Amino acid sequence: MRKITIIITLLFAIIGGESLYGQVSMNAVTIIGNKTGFSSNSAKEIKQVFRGKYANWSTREQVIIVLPASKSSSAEIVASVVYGNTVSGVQKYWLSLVFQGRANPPVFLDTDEEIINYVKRTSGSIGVVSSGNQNLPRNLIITINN
Amino acid sequence: MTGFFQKISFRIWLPFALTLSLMMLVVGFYYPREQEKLFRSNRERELKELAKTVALGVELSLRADDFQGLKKTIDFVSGTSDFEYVAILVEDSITGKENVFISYPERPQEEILSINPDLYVYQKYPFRTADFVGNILISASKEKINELVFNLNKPVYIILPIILMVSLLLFFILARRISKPILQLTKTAKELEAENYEVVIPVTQGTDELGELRNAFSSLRDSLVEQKERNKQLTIGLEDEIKIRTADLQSTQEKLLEAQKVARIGHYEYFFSDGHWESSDVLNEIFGIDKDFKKDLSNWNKIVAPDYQEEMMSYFLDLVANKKKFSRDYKIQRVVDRELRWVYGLGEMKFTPSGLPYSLSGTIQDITDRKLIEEEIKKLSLVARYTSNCVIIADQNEVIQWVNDSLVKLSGYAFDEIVGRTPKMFQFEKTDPKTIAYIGQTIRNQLPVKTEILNRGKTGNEYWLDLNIVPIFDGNGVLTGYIAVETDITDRKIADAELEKSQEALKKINETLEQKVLENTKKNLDLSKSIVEQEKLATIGEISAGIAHDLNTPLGAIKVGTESVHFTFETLLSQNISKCTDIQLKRALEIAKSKTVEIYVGGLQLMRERKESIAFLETRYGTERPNLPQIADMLVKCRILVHEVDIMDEIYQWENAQDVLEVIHNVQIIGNLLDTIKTSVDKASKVVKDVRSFIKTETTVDRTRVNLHDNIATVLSIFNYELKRNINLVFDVDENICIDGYDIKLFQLWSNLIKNAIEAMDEYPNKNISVRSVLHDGKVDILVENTGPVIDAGIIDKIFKKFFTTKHGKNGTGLGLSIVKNVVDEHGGKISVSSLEDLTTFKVTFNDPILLD
Repeated sequence: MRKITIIITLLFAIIGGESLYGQVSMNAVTIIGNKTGFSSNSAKEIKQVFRGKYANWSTREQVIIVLPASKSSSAEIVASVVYGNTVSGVQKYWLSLVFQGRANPPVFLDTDEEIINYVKRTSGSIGVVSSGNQNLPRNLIITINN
Repeated sequence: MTGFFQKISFRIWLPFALTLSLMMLVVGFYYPREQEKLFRSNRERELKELAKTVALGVELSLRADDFQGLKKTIDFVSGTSDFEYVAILVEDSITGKENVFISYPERPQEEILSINPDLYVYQKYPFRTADFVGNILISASKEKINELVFNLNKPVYIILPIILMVSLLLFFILARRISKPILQLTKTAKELEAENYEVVIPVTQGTDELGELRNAFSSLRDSLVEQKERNKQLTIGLEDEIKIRTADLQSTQEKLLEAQKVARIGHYEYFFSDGHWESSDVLNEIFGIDKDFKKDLSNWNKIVAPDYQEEMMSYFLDLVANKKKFSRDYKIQRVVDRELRWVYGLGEMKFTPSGLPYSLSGTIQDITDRKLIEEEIKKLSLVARYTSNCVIIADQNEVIQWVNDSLVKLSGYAFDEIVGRTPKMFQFEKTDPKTIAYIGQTIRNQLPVKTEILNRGKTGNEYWLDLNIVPIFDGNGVLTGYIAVETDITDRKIADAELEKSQEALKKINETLEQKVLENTKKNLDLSKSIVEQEKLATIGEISAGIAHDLNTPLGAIKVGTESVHFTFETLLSQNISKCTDIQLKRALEIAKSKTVEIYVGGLQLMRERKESIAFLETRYGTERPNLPQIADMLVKCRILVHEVDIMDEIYQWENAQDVLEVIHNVQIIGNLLDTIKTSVDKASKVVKDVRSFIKTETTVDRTRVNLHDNIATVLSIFNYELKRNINLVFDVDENICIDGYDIKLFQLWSNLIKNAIEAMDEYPNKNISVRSVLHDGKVDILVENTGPVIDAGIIDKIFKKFFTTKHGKNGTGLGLSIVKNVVDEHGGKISVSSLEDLTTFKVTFNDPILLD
């Protein structure tokens, strides 16, 4: 029975993993960045950045991805919204990228505040925090154009 | 010229070079090997540490989200030069198999999972997080490691040979520098050796060993110059001394040689190194060898007389082995004339400083004369001592000095009892005084004595001696003594006396015996003669029946012929003659005489001739005559045939032609009968003559030329009756062969052989006798063969012996074949017999047959 469940889950993941978790809107999280260089700010582009597709911004500045640590409360939702995956899956995803040197290693921080502070003081960094955080500086928020 | 390798510089350099090369070789081999082992060990350990580090980095990145650390770890790993790839292997929770999660740089999963250990070294290290378990696999290329190892050792490979070459070169230069002064001094030493004392010796101020050596050489040269001058003076003095000594030595040597020649002593020296020997002229002359003679041990041994060769070689080998002196008499056989001589060899061995035999030198003296004398003396001494004869040696005064054992034994005196006395001690009253006087007189005249004398021993025993006394003279002809050799002839003397008596008696017996022998011989001769005659008469008796037959036949013919003549003659007188005229009778006798008439003409021939005659008569004279057939018949009987027309015309004209023809025919019959009677008479005469010839007894007839054919034919005629009766005879003896001999004796020879042949075949149905001659090689063989029984091989050698017979109880005397043998011997011939299954042959061979032309 357990095997059947796993197979079905994988099937969904393959056919439309994004749609499985896609029920959670990007609105559930807030993307923040410091001197980033998006061309369209589209959700797709943002997701590609978070998936390590780019190493540098158009300004040649290094792309630094800041994510909630896997034990943080927002880790799961971020994994779901941004990566359409579990927290563990996100770790393995980055493990493979970093192992092969195909992307800069992301920075995992335990709380949204730490993420915000890090982005604030690190040029070229882009992070994701839970929506509704009152302490978010407006200038860091990246608006997603759907 | 000293070679490079003999130079001192090379010899100094070589040990350094070898040591250095060995050291470099060890370093060049051992060091890189150890480096490589260490490097590989470190590399494996490093890989393990790297795997461990990567595993830690993976664990940290997953547990603490520290991907920066992971990146650093990967960067660190990828910085390793021989690094090939690093991979994360995870275990499939379902299949349990390991799969490659990720690899860097990216490689196909199959390559990673089936890693080739020949190409790669690798290490694994496990990691484990809450939901991720696996191994870190890190591999490095062996080729790169080997390259690193080579690079690591490259300096060694390059630098070591350079160091070696440079060091060898430096050592060589150093060696040359060290050896240079030594070479200079060597050259100087050679110059000094060549007595070049002007050579310059560089003097050094240095205090090292070479400097001291140079200075020592300089001092040595000065000393040598000084010594040379002293030697020069000394040499001049020595040369004068040597000249004087040489002259003395030469003189002594000549004397020595002369002495050696006189004493026949030669000198030799044998050299062990090459086995040859040298010898003086005197020794060469003793050995009878020339200068070309090969002087070695083997040839010396060949010079030794054959009987001594083995012994002398053993002696030589023994003295060499035991280092003894050579001192030996031995016999040699001179090479030049093979003369045997005695020599005395003396020699002493010389040795090398190391104790090995160097030579054997000494002298060899010809001692033949001495040896011969010694041998002779030895033999004489032995003869004198051990001869069965008595020997006495006395001095010129006849005083006995020595006697041998035989005399002691014979005389009964002891040796000491005899010595010191004279031989008169053995004479006594029976000794002939004349003999004693003869001995005394002859000795006084210093002449040899030979006589017989009667002596007496200690125990009174008398004995006769055959005495020989010889006077002995010294080199100057002065009498020094006598030697007497005495033979005990006592037994002979006794035997002589006995013999004399026996001879006398024998003489008388002989005289009587001779008379008896003569008488018996005469009797034997008479007996032998009688036996031969008896044998002959026996033969005559045996063949008498045959003789009677042979006589009866002609006598019968004579009788019948006589009766027929009588009858025919009466017929003529009473019937035919009276019917004829004188002319007819005369003509009838002429015709009868001219015709050879056969008594009997065969019936068919008669009938045919009669028909022809009748036809002729009828044709010629007509058929008027009534007795024409009878006339024709008589013409045929008288053998007047149809072609004799004249005779026929003459007879047929007569009216009484038949009577005339009857007369002719009867006359012809009478003539024929008379011829037959004459022939029969001749035959009878011949039989009688042959028998007479056979039984002649004259033995003193001379040898004459005898025709063998006729001689044998006469014998065959004697046996005519037996032979013609039932024996097939072949007589094939050449009529031209004669021999010189006695025909009477030859009759006996053949008659015995033929008689034996006839008798042998008596019981055989198939009887054949052959008598034939064969000429060959100037001889003639008469072979008398018969097909009678085989003569037993056991007796064939005895059959010619007198009185040997196989016909015991019949008529055999045992003399026949012995007579045959005697006759053959008397004619210088030979007789042999061979007897096979079907044929027994007696072969009589005569030498020198005479062939008639």
